[in-house]
Amino acid sequence: MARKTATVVAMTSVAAGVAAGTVARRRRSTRDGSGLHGWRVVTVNRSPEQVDRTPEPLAVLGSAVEVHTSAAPGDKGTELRARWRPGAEVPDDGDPLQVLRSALRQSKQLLEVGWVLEPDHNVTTQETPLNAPLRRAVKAARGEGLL
Amino acid sequence: MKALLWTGVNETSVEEVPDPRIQNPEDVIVKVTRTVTCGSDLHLLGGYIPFMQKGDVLGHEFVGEVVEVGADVRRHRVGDRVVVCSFISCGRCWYCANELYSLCDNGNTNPAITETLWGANPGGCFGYSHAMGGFAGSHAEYVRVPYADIGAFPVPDGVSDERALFASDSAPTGWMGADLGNVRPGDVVAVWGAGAVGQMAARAAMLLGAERVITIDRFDYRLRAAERHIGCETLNYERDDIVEELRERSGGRGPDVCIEAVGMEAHSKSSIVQAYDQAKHQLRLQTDRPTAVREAIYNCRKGGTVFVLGVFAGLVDKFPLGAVMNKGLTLRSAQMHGHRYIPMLLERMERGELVTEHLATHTMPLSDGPAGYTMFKEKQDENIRSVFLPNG
Repeated sequence: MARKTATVVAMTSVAAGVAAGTVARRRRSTRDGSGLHGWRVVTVNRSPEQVDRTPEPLAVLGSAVEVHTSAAPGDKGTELRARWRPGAEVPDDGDPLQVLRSALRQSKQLLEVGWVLEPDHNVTTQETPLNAPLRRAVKAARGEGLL
Repeated sequence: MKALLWTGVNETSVEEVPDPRIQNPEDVIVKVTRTVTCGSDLHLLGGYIPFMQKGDVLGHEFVGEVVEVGADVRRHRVGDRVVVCSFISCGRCWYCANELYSLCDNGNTNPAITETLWGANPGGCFGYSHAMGGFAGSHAEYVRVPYADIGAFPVPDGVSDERALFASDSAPTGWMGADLGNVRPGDVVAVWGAGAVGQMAARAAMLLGAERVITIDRFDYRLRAAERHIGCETLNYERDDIVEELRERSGGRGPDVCIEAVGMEAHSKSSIVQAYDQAKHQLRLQTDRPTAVREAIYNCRKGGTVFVLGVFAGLVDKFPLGAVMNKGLTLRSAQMHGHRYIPMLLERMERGELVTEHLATHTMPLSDGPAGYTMFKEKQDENIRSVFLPNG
């Protein structure tokens, strides 16, 4: 029983750590200025000719977002960059950096696959106090990407 | 539908849950005919991979029948018998284009968890925690299969469900260890672990031309199965001196390729080492016990290759980096890139070169799943794998 309790505590701690780490990274990035107006980039496995217009998830953010593409080295496709223009109004509902990252990730999937993969809707997960940190981590994880 | 759920550390139950449905245009819904426990499920079951939530459906290795197809599915029709790769991969990102399917950029819908842990996210996986996308697993009557044209494969008429089941994960995982471990004709290959993946790795090494293949485990019944059905040599590390035996059987050089197919809950012959690793593991001062990896590195010949097939989640202690460096070893690892191997493996299964039925030591209805997991975890009744029949 003691071993099981220790395992549960450890599980909760790790999940909480991941959630906290994700949030902290975002806050740090936004605070030091590299985040909000810095370029975020994702590599798309398509040639620059195939990335000839601003993908819809970035286009809907309007002129507040600046988008740039360039060929990735080593035939790795196209580097798609975006940032909030300095001085532009950013959305005040939610984290603007997360909005940008999500738009880039969705753009990559639209360009490569044609649609965005949805997480399973019929999830059977039951909410408990112990899995609250993990639920927070998952919520944050869906809107992020290594960008 | 009925599904087997993770309900807490070392607890599962079979409960009624909503049916899956088509969500993306390349989804299919598969009626699961057979689904099997995997050693890596035990890491989830025991809470060693701390990203499970109460109610998550377990299972990632399965075969079944297509019962519904999305609008853009081109390679499958209702009624097709398919085996599905455990990893969820888009087939179109740079990694998939380079046959590194388990590294898919797009298959994991929760990318930031593993990016935070490991610096980048692998693809998604059925029933393998929210770190791998939170997809429902295959221990259920039905399962949603995203990117079905990429990850579901027709089963040839000459291959039974019983055999094809292991083309979902165990066989391609084992094959990858031998293939990316660079097994060449004439090699001596040692495999740690005589479970399903270890046996498949041993068989792959033999089919790739290895001169000698030696499988190491502590359970005699698993070693007997490896000898009888795979045809490899075996060692029991609780009785045999592994260092001495491997040297002797490789002309004093050490094995050319060492494949670790054990994972994070490895055991040791040494009670001191075992106690040390267990204590650190339980206190989470290390997240994984790398005993078999240490042994593989120690025993590998100079300039040889160690391939880590077993699942690891985080940090390990007492990693012999000095041996890796000074012996000039190549250390490789990966979650399995099954898509590149499954069609070839199904052909080999059809030709009888690769047999797997003996791995399914216990077959039972899904309703007996919790007991099947206990039997599998505790190695009761000479269990190698428990297979569940969700649809009777």
